[in-house]
Amino acid sequence: MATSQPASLPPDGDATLTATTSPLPSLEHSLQEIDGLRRAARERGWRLLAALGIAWLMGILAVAVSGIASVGMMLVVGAFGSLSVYFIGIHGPAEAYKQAFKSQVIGRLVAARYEDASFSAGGGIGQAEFESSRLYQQGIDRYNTEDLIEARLGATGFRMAEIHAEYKTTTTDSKGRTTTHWHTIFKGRFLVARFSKRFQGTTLVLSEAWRLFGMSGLEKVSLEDPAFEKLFAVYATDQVEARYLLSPSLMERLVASRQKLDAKVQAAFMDDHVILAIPDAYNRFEPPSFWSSSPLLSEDDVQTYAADIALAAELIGELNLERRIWERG
Amino acid sequence: MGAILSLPILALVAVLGYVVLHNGLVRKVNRVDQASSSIDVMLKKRWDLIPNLVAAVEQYMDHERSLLETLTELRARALSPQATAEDRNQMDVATSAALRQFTVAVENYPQLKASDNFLQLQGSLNEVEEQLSAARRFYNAAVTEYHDGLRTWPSSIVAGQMGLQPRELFAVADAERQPVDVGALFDRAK
Repeated sequence: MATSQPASLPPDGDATLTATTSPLPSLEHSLQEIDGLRRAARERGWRLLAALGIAWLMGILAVAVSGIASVGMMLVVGAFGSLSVYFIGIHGPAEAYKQAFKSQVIGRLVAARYEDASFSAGGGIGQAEFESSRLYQQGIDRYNTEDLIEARLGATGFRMAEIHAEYKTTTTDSKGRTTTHWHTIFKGRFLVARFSKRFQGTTLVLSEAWRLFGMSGLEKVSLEDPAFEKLFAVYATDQVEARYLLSPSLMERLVASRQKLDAKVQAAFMDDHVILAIPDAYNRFEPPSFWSSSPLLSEDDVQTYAADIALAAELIGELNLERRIWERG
Repeated sequence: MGAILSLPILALVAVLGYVVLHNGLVRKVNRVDQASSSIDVMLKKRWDLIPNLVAAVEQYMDHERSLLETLTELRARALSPQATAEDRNQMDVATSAALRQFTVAVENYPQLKASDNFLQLQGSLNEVEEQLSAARRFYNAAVTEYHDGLRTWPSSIVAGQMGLQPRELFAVADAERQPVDVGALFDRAK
């Protein structure tokens, strides 16, 4: 996965424009082409499995006849070799299928849903930007990002990408063997959108209600809405600005969004932007397995991908980010 | 012997407790003052905006001349050196009501919507109004926290010794609870 960091959002547009609501594009031609790639990958997979099966049979026969090597060692070497051959052999066709799917299905669905839209399967939101949001404090040991959507909805320019950030711990047993464990810090979608108000400081809306040491350089802000206070903890550089950003209606909308998504949504307001972190267990925008024997995509599948793409529009709409008290120049 | 030793410890704990509670109350008072001054800053921004707003619209809004004059007069009275804090609060409430009427009245003048200057000022006004609302919410939060300090034991004892008094919460004025009388405005505009 690439970790490119786009420099800027698509420009804000005319605030009077409404969101693109064009119907789903016809994908029939693309689907046929992608199905060809899927079949090619599947065929390669079967061939590799067949070749490896024959190799295993011959290897077992050779061991049985000559008796020169230990069976255990042969099994370990054979398993390692087989897996390597399989993954090296399948990588090309599988990747061609995946990339074709992403550019021709996801890319076109994104273009149909948003204005000035682009989709980059290898693009993402960089680690520096993720860390600068301060939404997750744990140091990162492994960071992956992919499936970047850059677009505009009405007057609101935004970027959304999948991110998986992890840290590791190592344990050593009594025999001195070390084991590395990976732990997820954040896995899900990150949405960066231009906010409807201008502001200077930083305001964080965190899902963890209690922090032993607070947040460096930020003050705890207690707000009036009990439902909001139960779900979120707010830290900000400026008490008045935090309330300016978190109007009573926005607090209600954040509570509703969190309940609707059933996820510990967090938000950061900084540099005239709002950053939303939406945890998600699934890896979105991926094609069905090429081993699947069913036709590539049903209408329902397409609708599911379209709904994943529309998440940004839903959040921008639900949080009322399109409302402008200032027409930006 | 043990009792004699424990007396100074108890006294030290009591003194430390007093200092902690006293400083906590001082911080709460400071926060209320800070919140109060942030309201003043926002009000000043609003007062500064009114002359520009009136200048930008007066040539279009002939039928709203009395409303514009009211706004100008409210500003002059609020900024007068003789105005007391109470006067300023009254001017503030009246100005909020007049600005809400103004916002509705603007809808009758489509040519204003085409003016970049006016749209810029309207954006500024919206921003200031929202900042003012945020400053008032901060003030109410600070006062509520301060009142908790005044009324909960044992800080209430220290507060009593310091002579601290409750402050008034900012309540929405009755005038602001009333919906804007759009019909009357439209009649006047005819």
